[in-house]
Amino acid sequence: MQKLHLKIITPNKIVRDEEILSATVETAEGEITVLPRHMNLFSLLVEGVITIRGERNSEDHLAIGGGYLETDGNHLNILVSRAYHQDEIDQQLTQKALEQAKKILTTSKDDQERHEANLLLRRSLVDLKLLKKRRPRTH
Amino acid sequence: MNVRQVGKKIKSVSNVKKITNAMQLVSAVKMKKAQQRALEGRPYQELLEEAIYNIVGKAEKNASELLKLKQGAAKKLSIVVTSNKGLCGSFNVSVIRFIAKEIQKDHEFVTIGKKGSILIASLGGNVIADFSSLDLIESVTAVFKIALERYLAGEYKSVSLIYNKFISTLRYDPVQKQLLPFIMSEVDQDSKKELKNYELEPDAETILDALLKSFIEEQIRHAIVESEAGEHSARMIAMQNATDNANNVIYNLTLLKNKLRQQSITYELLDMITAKESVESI
Repeated sequence: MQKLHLKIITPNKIVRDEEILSATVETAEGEITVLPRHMNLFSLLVEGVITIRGERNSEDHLAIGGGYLETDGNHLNILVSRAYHQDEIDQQLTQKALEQAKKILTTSKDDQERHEANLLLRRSLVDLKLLKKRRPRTH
Repeated sequence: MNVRQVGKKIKSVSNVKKITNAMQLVSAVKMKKAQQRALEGRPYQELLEEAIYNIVGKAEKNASELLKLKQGAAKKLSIVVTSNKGLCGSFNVSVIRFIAKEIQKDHEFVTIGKKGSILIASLGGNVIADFSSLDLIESVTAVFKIALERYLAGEYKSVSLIYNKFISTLRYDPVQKQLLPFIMSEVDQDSKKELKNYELEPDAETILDALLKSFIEEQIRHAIVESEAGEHSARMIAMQNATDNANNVIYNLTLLKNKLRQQSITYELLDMITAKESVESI
């Protein structure tokens, strides 16, 4: 079976560099799944959860910030501001951040502060969504 | 100077030596980290560059506001990256010397790092904003925002970035990079590959705009990381020189101390001998 070479890159490091079967991502125009031999595509990604399917039907999930997707059918490059695996996120901390962001949004009148809280809220929601996904089976 | 004074001096110099030696070790570790970070950020930047190159080729010349030349504005904005702390040789001065010619003209500055803002202000430059929080990397977004907003409002003809480029542990050179309006030639220098044809979603303009913004922001981040690597290596070298110099001073002072001690012993002996001679001759 043909495979895709996936690279997930953030400004800090290369998060993933592996062969996969398909990946599902959220773009600015909706959710898409990239399979091998996909047509050349360049797309904007929004904050969300990406799902990577590797061999033997294993699934893996990552929370990402906004960024770009580039594919030519053999390679899939994902450039994002941040990418975290399920194991790297602490549920309690995320919950805490979510509540804090909500509190700021309801009380603060400062535009800058509200904007930051909004970003935090969106990020925490994405992270929580990621945590609800089924954990990959450990082989 | 007597022996005791020299002894005191030796003690204080060796204390200084301990400190400079410790600082040298700390800087060496920090430099390694900063270098590592600069290396790890490279793939991200390269892929962005490649993508921009692919898309700019296809899009129209004026697809993005960031590609157009601003008419009418006369002022220029420079983002100057320096360090927050001193004791790093000519690191900060070399950046300032690099832009010294332009300080007097209709030029405005945004500084990242305390030393730069102090030096520019003392030379009479117009510093409109200074981002010198403890962690310089955190201010990237804010710097980018202020530059972009003011540029789009038509205040500036161009925005450039000035920082110390890290070349090797022993070398760093101040460089100037133009950020806005975006110049294509910087990108296609090393990527002479075939243009790939992409399907673009949602459309070329939106993507190009977002790409250019991330690329410029990434350039600022990269400049800060490189400047940090340069700062730590400069400090390491400066501290190494200081330690060597302290060693030299201690060596010379020890010689002096021994000489003085020997001298006083000789004088005492002389005294005793003359006293004895004079008593015996009577």
